Amino acid sequence: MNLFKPSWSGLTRPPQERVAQFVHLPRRIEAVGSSPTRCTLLDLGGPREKAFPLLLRAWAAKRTEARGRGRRGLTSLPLALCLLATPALAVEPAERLPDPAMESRARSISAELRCLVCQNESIDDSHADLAHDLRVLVRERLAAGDTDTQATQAVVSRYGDFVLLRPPIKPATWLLWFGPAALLLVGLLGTMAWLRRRPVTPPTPLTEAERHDLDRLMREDR
Amino acid sequence: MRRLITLLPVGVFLVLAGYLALALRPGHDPHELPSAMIDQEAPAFDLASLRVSGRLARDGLKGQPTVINFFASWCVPCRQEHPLLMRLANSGTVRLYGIAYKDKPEDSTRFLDQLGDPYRGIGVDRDGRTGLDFGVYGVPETYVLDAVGHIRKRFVGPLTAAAVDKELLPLLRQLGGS
Repeated sequence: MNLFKPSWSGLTRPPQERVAQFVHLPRRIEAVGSSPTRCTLLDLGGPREKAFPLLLRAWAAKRTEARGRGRRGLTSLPLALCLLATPALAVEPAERLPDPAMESRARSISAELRCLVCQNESIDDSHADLAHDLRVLVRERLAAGDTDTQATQAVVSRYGDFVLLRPPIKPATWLLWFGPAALLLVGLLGTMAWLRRRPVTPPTPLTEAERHDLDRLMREDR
Repeated sequence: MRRLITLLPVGVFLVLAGYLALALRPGHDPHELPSAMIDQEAPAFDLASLRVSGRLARDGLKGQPTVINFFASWCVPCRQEHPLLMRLANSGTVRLYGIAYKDKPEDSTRFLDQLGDPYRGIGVDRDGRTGLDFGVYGVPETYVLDAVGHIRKRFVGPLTAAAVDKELLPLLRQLGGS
């Protein structure tokens, strides 16, 4: 094996994507800092985010009060921030459709489609450039009046069944879908057959001496 | 019969081990996917040309077998396969076209000025839409189209000398002859 061969999959994304892969946190902080519309850490606009400035003020007031009493009230801020954290969203605000119903359809379609770059993430979760393109494609098709199936099919026709995180049931995937259940069934039948064929010997009654011993033991126990 | 049943776990193990060994064999890349569009018509595209005026369009390429290579200046493996592309171009028998995927035109131009331009024509796919239509999920990718414009083969990742000699050139010969 040639260890010096560059890893192809790691080097074929546009540069900003590559940087974000390895330096995940700075990219997010930069996104939060540079423009609030591209914020990926906090989903701005929700009720919890509206509470954010109030919480900060409340904390500041509490801190000054605590200082006045010679104590530090530093413990509450990290806690408050933890409560505000929401999972980072890959879907960027600019991608979203104006119609909330259509957007939620797009979200549920995206959650079923594999990102070809990360391969174990859905395009709804992935920050890869390609995932962004596919999310936009799905939304374009929905906006053009496609049904959910048609929009999914638009992606499958380009990338094949592999993009479906839930593989379709067809002869080639029967083993995948029904294999585990079939194995379980075979195991159950085998166990049942084995249990049935096992010779059952009727219990032999105790001899006179054994019964005597048992009585003695039981008495001693008392 | 009884002995056969006792050997069953060994059999299951061997089948499983064989399957796993197959997936671990050298040279096998689990990330490589067959194109979903093999033997289908290539998606339509009509792109502005790089460097020269004019356009590069699918329908203009029909008539003879064609090789389309998706590349970008920011892609390191593209540099790796570049000498092979130059070799193909210099052989004079391969109609090789390039599509600059998600690349600034000035960057693509500088890339080709540095390393040489193996392409008969280059389309600028600035937003990657043509790549998306082809099912490209990383560059480089290379597609072989037959004379009527159907996709016959896709190479994912940089071309290798072995892939060119054992697969690409024989396929082109076969397509050219038929």
